[in-house]
Amino acid sequence: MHIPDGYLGPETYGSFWAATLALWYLAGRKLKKTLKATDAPLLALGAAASFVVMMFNVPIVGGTTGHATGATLLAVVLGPWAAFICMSIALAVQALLFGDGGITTYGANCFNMAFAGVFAGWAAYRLLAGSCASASKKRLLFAAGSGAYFGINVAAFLTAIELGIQPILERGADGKPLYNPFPLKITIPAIMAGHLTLFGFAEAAFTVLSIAYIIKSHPELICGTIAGNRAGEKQQ
Amino acid sequence: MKKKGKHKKLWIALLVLAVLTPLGLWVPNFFGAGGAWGEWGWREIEKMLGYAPSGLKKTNGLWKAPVAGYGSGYLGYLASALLGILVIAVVVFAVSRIFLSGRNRKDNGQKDGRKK
Repeated sequence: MHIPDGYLGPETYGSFWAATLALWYLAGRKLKKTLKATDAPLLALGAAASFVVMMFNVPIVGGTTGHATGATLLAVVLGPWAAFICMSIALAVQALLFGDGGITTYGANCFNMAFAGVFAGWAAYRLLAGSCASASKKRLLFAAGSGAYFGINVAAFLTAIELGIQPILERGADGKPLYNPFPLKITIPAIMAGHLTLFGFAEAAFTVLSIAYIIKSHPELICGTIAGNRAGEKQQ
Repeated sequence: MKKKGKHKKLWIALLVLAVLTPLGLWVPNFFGAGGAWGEWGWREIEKMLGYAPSGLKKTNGLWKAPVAGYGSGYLGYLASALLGILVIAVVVFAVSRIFLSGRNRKDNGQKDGRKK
């Protein structure tokens, strides 16, 4: 899902850079009000966890590989805006230090995995979990797992669309595609098959196991965002 | 105030995962799986299609990453996991220091020490 340099044309990657910059600005405004510098260790943990889980490549026998992203886990524990920033930082380190994902395509990768993946997963989680304080542990885990499955598939689908529209948008004088050459009818099944059948479940399993562990070790971290925890305490 | 080692169990879990990362390389090798779909270099595309789209070819190698492909071998992969965690932690702390205020915000209405 890490789109490398060269796969998206300037119109596409420029648009996604602009969208991501605007979303960072929004995130910054929200987080300045809710987070403080002493939350940094937890944010670092989240970003690092996302980075590490992405290193666990899950194979389709004889085919390609994919991996979990931790998007929904981060959203549940840190809140979606903080998760978005943390994953953006993980993606930046992957691109700059390890060449995983491009520089021109970094905006699109952030938008797909760190923004859309996080918010889709978080929305599904919230919908299914209902009131976090009164939900049973089973229900929370089910909601988080379902959110994770949904979130990563939303991210994968966006990736497939962005890649697949390149042959429509960008063609040279000879009619040949300039960037990603594979059309939608190839990109969508190629990317979604793996995510719907395998990587989505890897993401769900990782999220459920992690949240079960956190409920045991740090129950105060579940049920909303870092800031939400504080607000929640106030209400009680 | 923040207690030292407040999230110790989570850091331990993270380090356990980091130590296991070579599995993320070994398992795909074992099952004969290649890389991720659509993350090929332009040469691989050239092999697949007989040509590489000109824009893709031009932009593909734009950035020379210092530890491209997470190093080589299982040990390189493990070292990359640890290096990545370190760099990410440093960046997150720096970003937090720059953008977030050091004190508890008014709207929290809580003293920090309340939570265990």
